[in-house]
Amino acid sequence: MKRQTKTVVQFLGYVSPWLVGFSCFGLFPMVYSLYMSFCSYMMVGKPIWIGFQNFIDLFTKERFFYKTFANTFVFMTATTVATLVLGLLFSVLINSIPRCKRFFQTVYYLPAILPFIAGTMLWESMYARFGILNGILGNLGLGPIEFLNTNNAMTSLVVMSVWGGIGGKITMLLPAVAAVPQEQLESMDLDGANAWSKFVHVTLPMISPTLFYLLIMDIIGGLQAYGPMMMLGGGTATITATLQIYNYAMIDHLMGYASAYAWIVFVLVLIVTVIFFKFGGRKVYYADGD
Amino acid sequence: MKKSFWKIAAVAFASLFVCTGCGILGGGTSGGGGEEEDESTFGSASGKTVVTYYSFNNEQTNRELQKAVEEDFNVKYPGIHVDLRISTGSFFTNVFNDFAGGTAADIIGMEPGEIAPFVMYDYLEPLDEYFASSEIVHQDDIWAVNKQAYCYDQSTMKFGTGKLYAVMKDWSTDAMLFYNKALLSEEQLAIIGRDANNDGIGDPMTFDEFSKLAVDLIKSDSKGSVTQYGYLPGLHEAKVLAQFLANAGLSWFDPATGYSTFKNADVQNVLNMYYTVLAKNDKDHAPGNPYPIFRQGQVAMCMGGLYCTDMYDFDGLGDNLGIAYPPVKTRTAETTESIPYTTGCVGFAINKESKSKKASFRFIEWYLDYFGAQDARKLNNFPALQKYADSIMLNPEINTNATMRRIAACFNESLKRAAVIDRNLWCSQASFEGIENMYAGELMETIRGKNNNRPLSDFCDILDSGIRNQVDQRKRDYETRG
Repeated sequence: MKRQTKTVVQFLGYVSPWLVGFSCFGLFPMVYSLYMSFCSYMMVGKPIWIGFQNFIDLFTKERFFYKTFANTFVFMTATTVATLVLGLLFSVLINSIPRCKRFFQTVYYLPAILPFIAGTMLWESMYARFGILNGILGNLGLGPIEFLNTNNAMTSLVVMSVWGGIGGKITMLLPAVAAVPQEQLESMDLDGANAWSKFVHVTLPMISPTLFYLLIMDIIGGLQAYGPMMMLGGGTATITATLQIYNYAMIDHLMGYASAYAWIVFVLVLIVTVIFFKFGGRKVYYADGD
Repeated sequence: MKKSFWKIAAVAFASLFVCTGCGILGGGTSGGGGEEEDESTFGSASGKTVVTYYSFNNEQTNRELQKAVEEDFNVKYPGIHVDLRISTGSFFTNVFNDFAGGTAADIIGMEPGEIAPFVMYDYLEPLDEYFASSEIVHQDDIWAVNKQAYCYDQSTMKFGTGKLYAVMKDWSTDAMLFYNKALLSEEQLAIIGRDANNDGIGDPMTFDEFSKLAVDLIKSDSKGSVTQYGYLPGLHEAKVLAQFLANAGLSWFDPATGYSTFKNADVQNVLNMYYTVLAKNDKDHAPGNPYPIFRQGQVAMCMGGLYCTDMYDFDGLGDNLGIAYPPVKTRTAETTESIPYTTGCVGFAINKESKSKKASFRFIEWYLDYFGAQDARKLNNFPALQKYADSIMLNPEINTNATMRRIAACFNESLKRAAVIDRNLWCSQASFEGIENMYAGELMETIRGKNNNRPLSDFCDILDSGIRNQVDQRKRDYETRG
């Protein structure tokens, strides 16, 4: 066997566990769902090719099609901004204290350990008409507030998601904040810079790769959100594109229609991600100059 | 190099093996035993026939079933091995997947509201001949309403006639109106407890009487929070709504087209009455399950099934527990008949491609007989076989609890007149409930004056367009397939 062939075989051997897994459980379902998006398929018999009919139906007949995307963007924007800002704030605060860093890091990360379903049920009981939040408000002579009615549902879901997501952000951002070179901060001290200037001109650029990574992941995750809405409801005020896809696929078994919906979401996520990479990436500072 | 090459090849092969194994394990069921059936082996331990039963039983129910299989079924049929499998996700999605992949179980849990596509696409085995030749279960023992639930005629595309495709394993329907006498005044009791034929079951109220009671019985504290609910439905609001429509002589869909009837003024009147009652009872913020608080005396009326008496200790209310038929639109001498709704129950169907059909039927007839007697003794679900209702539940020598005997008698009467209603070939019950659940809360907020986003006409329009979309898609699919 030639050396080059051996190298290729060796390479394929090393990557084969991932390659086979991705092909079977990632690539094939994706390609098949693209095919199904052009088919009528109710999970009986074989998919029947109907061309662009599912896409036409979605754009012309789907009553809440645009509403689902509007809700998705509102949820994604609110959760991304809130978790990143609060995560960064708490990371800087924790980094500034001389001791008990690990303790606070653990405390903030605890909600992320809680299984999603359990966490959501916890919030459901807290948001209830006779839940603990309304109990506290009642003792203060306020409320009751219907946290999950049409007017408040989106805010309530965002608060819950931020609570669950902030720990993960701190875990990623705290090491980045701690790794900011002290000599640069000290030189700014000598120049008489205040804390805000140091944060904006040194800390923020130095942690921008981590922030950018978290931003992209949050955007992708936010655009795929459906769990909180499915668990807590909220009707048209909270219904997202992915929740509609779930409903069409898993309850109504309209797999072709749901696949078409999913591909529209995919294209949208792709566009948003590319835009952020194209324009947001320029602001990211890489120490090695990349 | 040669050595490392083989090492790598081994790793690659192992990974392929693992992935393929995952595919097999994740693929579902066995596809029906794998061997041709030989009835002579059912009574012996040699050459066991495997029967897979796929259901959405919970863990505890499944454990009890497993125990019963080991203690009784395996003794009677040592040649049959029953493999019990329960669903951890969306049950009917999994079943569709299994059929599509050719790995469906031999016996499948089947709801009347979901059966249409399975029979339309010829996935299920007709059971008529099996019952005709059964020595354990006779057709006469099975409640007449079972025929409405599971008979289907493909030539006319109608339910209630044609071949039998499934049999109900028990009747756990939320078919009766329970009320707590202690919370009602004398005048109110006179309305809800009116019993012309003196059979212990309240005659159906009119919608007007019912909705007035349901609102009059609400009590609130100084802050306006409800402390006593007038009426909460059972666990399945949409199903109870369907029952109200049926009792108004209406349906939520047009049987000729499959489209919804939510643009029909008569239907909208019923919807308006139903959701107004729920909204005034603060339904969308009340606990999902009303039975525990009914037992605690915080709910005056609820819709429930026989299982509530055991599971939620309704019989603990003793003489305060009242039972009535669901309300009707008008109450004249001719139209006092209330139709209790029955499609909340689950039955057995046999996979047409199963290679263990006869063995599967052995299990089904055993189950109906064994658990029919058990259910009758426990007074939990109503037994699938009528004979056990008569011989055990209503027998004062066996069922010595007078309250429970009275409740069982009520359900016995209700099942005799019960009907399976509102099946739509093109839109499943679950789909309808999904749409209803998504938007009903907003309608009720509007009724309570908390928002103005969702008037009844808009709500009806959403339900109509949601169902129309599905009906159109399914019809197109069915017609394209020929």
